[in-house]
This record gives sequence, C-alpha cells and structure tokens, in this order.
Amino acid sequence: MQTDTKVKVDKSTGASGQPVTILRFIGDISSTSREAVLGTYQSLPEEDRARILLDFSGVEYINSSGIALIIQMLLEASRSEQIIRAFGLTPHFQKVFTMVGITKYTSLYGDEATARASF
Amino acid sequence: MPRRSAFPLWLLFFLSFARAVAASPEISLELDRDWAWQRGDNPRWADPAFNDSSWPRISAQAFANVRPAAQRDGTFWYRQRVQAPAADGMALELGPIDGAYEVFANGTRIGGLGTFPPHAEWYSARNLLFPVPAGSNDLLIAIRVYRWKLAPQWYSLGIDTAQLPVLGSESALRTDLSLRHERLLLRQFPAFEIGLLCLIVGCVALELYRRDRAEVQHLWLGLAFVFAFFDGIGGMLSVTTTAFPVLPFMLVATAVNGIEQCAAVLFLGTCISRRPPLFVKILGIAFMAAVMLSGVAFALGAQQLAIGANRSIDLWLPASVLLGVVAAARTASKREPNAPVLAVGVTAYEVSLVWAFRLRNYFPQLPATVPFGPFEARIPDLGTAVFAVCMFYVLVRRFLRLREEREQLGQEFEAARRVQTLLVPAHPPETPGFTVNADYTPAKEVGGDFYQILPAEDGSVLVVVGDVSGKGLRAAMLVSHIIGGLRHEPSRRPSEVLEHLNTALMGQTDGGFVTCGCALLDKGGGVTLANAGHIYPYRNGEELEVPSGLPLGLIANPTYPETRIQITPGDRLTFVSDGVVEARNARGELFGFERTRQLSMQPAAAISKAAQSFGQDDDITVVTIAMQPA
Repeated sequence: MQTDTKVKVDKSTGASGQPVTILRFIGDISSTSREAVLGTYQSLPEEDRARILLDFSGVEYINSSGIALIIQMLLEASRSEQIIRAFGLTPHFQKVFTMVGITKYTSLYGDEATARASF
Repeated sequence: MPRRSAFPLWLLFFLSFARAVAASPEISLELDRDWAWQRGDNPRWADPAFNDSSWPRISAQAFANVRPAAQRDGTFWYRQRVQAPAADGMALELGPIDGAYEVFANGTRIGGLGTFPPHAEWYSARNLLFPVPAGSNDLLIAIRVYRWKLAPQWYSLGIDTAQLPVLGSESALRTDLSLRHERLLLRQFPAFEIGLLCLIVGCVALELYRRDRAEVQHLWLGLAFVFAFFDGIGGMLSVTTTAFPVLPFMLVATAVNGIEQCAAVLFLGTCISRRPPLFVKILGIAFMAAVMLSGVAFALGAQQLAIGANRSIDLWLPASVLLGVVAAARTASKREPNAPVLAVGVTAYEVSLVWAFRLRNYFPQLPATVPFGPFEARIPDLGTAVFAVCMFYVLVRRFLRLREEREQLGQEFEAARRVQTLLVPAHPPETPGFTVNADYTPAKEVGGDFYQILPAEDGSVLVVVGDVSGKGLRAAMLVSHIIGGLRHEPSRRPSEVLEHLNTALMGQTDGGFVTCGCALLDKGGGVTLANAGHIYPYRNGEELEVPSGLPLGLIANPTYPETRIQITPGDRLTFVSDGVVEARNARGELFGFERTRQLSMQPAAAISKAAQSFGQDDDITVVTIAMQPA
C-alpha cells in the first residue's frame, strides 16, 4: 500500500531576506524513506542547512518509523542550531506530530507563505 | 507443462525418422541447364514465345545459390526451356529462393511465395512444389523474383539451398519433399530438447528471483535461458516454416538474441560480484546493441551499418569471453558447495558462445555438428546444454537451501511469537476494583506493540501501553527488553517509570523510538498519567489531552509531566496504539482519531476488529480499564 518517498530541494528566501532551503516530500514516509529524509538533509551543503522548511503537502501517510526519521533530522538540526519549520501536514498528522513532541523542535504552519514568512 | 506438451513432438520425430529411413522416392528431372536472366519486370517475359537469346546466362548451380550483388535490389526474371514428358500430374519443385517470387509454366502462373513491391514480403526456408499443367513437351519455366538489396547473411535459407529445381511426378515429389521436411524436423530434435531444457532452467531461476529479489544472479540467468529458448525456437521456425516474413522475423530474432546475450553477460558479472559491476553492465548493453543494430540496419537496408554492427560483435565477443574466464575462475575459487559445478557450466557456456559466433568463421575445418544417435547436434547447442544442466543442478540445490532457510526462519518466528505470547498476556491479571479488557493483534507474526497490567497489593493498578516504531522481529526483540524492564521496575510513579525505561532504551532503538502511555490507578479512583509521545487515552469516550514528553530512546534525561484526574465507579479509560488510528483502507483513507473516539466505549476486541476491518497496517493494541462500582 505504501508508496516511495520522493524529495525535491528548492531554494527560497524568508521574510528577513535570508535564504531558506525547502525539502518537498512526496509519497508516504516510512522506514524505507531514510535516504529521502535523512540522506537529503545530510547531503545539503552546510550553508543551506541554516534555515530549512519541510513541505509535507505531498505526503499522505507517515508511519511511526517515518516519524522516527523526521525526529532524528530535527534532533540533528537542533544540535547544530539550525532552524527547521514545517507546513502542509494534514490535520491528522499535525495532531500526531504534537502528540510525539515534534513541536518542541519545530513549528507547524498551514501553508507555505506563512511558513516562509516565519523565517 | 513443457514436458507434457513436448510428448507429441517426440512421437512425430520418431515416426518421421522411421519413415525417412524407410522410403526412397524416385526423382524425375533436374533443371540443370543455364538460366537466362534479366533485371526488370515485364509480364511478357513469362510468355514462351518471347525471345530471351540476348539475355545473360547463369548456371543452374549458381541459380540455386544465387547471391551476386548484380542480382539484388530489384525484380529479376529467370527463364529456362525444358523438354519434359507431356503427362498429367507433373510438378516443379523449387528450393528456397531469397526473395518474393512467382513461377510460370508456358506463360501460366502456377504459384509463388511472398508479395512484390510496393508492399514486398518474402520468406526464408522451405522447398515448395508447384503443379505444372499438362501440355506440350516443350516447357518454358519462368521465375519472377524480387530481391532485397542486402544478402541474407544473418538468417538461414533453410534446407537444400544448393538443390536444383526438379520437374517430375507430383505425387513422387510430394512424398520426397515431405520426407525431407520430416528429416529436417528430425535434425532439429536435439536443439528442440535443449531449448526446452533452457526454458525449464530459466523458469526455475526466475521463480527463485521472485522469491528473493536480492538474488539478481537468478534474474539474469533466468532471462538468459528463457530468451535462449525463444532464440532456439526462432532458429527452428526459420528453417521449418514459411509462416513469418523475413524482415520482421529478423528484427524480432535479433532483439531476442540481443537480450539473451546481455542477460548472459550480466549473469557472468554476478559471478564476479553480487551485483554486476558498471563495466559489465556497459559490456552487456554494448553487446546487445551490436546484435540488435545488425538486425535493424539490415531491415533498413543500411548495408555498411549492418556490416559495421556485425563486425563490432568481434570487438565485444573477446571482452565477453574474458569476462567468462574471470567469472569461471572467480566462481571456482569460492568456498561454496556449488562452485565447481557453476564454474563448469560457465566454461561450457563460453565455449558455446565462441563457437556459435565466430570460431568456425576463422577455422572452417572445425565441425559444426556432432552425431547424436540418429540425430546430430550443433556444438554450441551442446555447450548450452551442459551449461543448462549445471545451472539446473545449482538452482535446485539453492532452491532446497532456500526452502530449508525459510522453514528455519518460520520456526524462529514461531518461537518468538510464543515468547511474546508469554510476555504480552492474552488475559490480563486479576485487578480487584477494576475491569480490564485488552486486545493485541500484531500486523506480522510478532509485533512491536506491548501492554502490561501490573496490580499491586495496595489495590492500585499500573497500566502501561506502548509501541516500538517499526514491526517484525526487531521490534519484538525490543518489546522483550521493555517488558523485562517493566517487570523489574521498582517505581510505580508513571513519570519515573517512563524515565527509567528511557534510560534503558537509550542506544537500543537503532534510530527508532518507543511511544508509551503510563497510568497509575489507585483504588479510590485517583489516576496519575504520564505520556511519552503515545496516542492520547480516552475517558468515557472523550480524548484526554495529557501533556506529552518525547518518545523513549531519543534523548537522555527527558522529563515526563504527570497529569492527575479523578474517575468514579463506571468510568472507563481506553488506551490504543497508532495501529488503530492509522489503519488504512484501500483508498488510503485513515481510520482516524474521530472514529477511534466514537468507538472508545466499545469492548477492546470490538475497537480492534473495527480497525482491522478498515485495513490493518500496523500492530493494534487496545486496553480498556473501568472502575467497578464499590
């Protein structure tokens, strides 16, 4: 039932004029998404990791293994004092993210414009 | 299946052989005089009264083997006068002609094969018989032929290519032709059987690949053998039937042969390393491209390209042979029981490859076939047969080993399931003052969910419900670790229980985590809750939004805030795992929080059943605990 995760990396700027790297995920996020989630994040050049926006608007399903990958990314970013924000989650997964405490490490936004404006 | 369908063919072969050796038909008259020939097309050239004395001549032998470039790329007429008995029941037998053709006897069209331009189609193989109408003794045979611009260097013209046209009694010629055709079929018998062997071995290899997609060696081996079967069948059809026009047939045949060669090269690559190295992939694709290009170029009439592509096979062949030598040596050096047999098979394949493609071109004195009882077998086919037998042996051994491993794995899973059954109880323990109801349904043989009901002498009950990220044996092993920790947990304070579990799990989750909800119910109805990222519990059908800490196993020294609530007799708490809220149907729709909330007053089994029916995607755990009336 699960579909592969694809990821597209875009570059934009936040409201402060600072560059923002956007990781746009498409498909389900599960244990097989390690390369798409952590691999993509870790392969970003250091200068592109300062402000990262995660786009989940193309994601329909994230299982617990997928959430574990996202938490690993957030913890790594937190240790490096990078800022990661997210948007496009369905209400179900906004609630799941809140339950597992992800919101301690990132802020969730409803749409891309609001999320970009937060940087 | 292949064996059953092959049986009537066996019978046909043996009957044909018996008839072929028993009969000896009488032949009437060979047309052994020179033929007058002319390029061009004129219906009058079929007329016996037409004067062809100014036409050039070609010998009867040359006509039978006609290849000269001067007689290609256009329509040609051939004429010969024959003194024949003016009897009824006469016929003319013609050997295979490299092109579309029509035959005329004294100006009357008596038959033909193929179609002329603008939609030219022609066929290889087969001698054909054309009844000649009774008439005068002076018979003018005229043959109109359309030939493609390129000579058929890459396909066989079939039997008796040097046979001169024969005029004689139709019945005698028909009997003779039928017998020779049956002899031809007989000669194909070893190739047919070897083809069947290839098909069987190919199917076994592909089935093994289907069972274990990591073994790409089986994929390439299977494709190589299945396409070798089709290649062999194509070769047989090209000399035994006139059912397929030459150009489309050649395109398909070269495509099949190209795929076969590419798959074989990639198979050799897997003998060197588990996945074929890049240079092997390049070699396989180049080999395939050269073979296919020769066919496409021929069909397009691009002579230089066709010759170039064909010669480039000379370039790729030594590389392929070298690869085969390395593969055989590498295989032989491996310490696995099948290595010697595999090495012998690879070596036999290399011999067959070299023999089939080039060796006889440079050493024509080498034999093409060897006697095989009443049959004869092509040497490359014998090499393929040895390769197929060796691989069949190896594959059967691997198949048996795989089955044994699966059985062993199944037993290990069963043992793990039994252990988990002991750790996660089917029936909760006695809990005076509280009614506990639970359901646990793993998505696989063993699960990554867990729950524990731990009553104490003071009348309190500690409820722990959790979920290890991931499924299967690895998650189940972590569950065992967690339950072991819970059974020896000195504290009954939910926040401390979670903190201790977190400490025990640090470095144990391999990048994953464990969500866990913990509740301590005292006999007076006081409830203390702490949560480590788990789905919120429900009280009397309403969600309890308790503050949550991070799941277990992620960071050291987290804090888990406690929440205190009071329940009264008849109140009920329901704990679920994410397997309930994230059950998914075929449309990808989630079961969701709202459905779960609406069902949360149902018995645990009913909630679990509803989620399973919706579409179970993960382990499902439901625990309900209700305070009994005083």
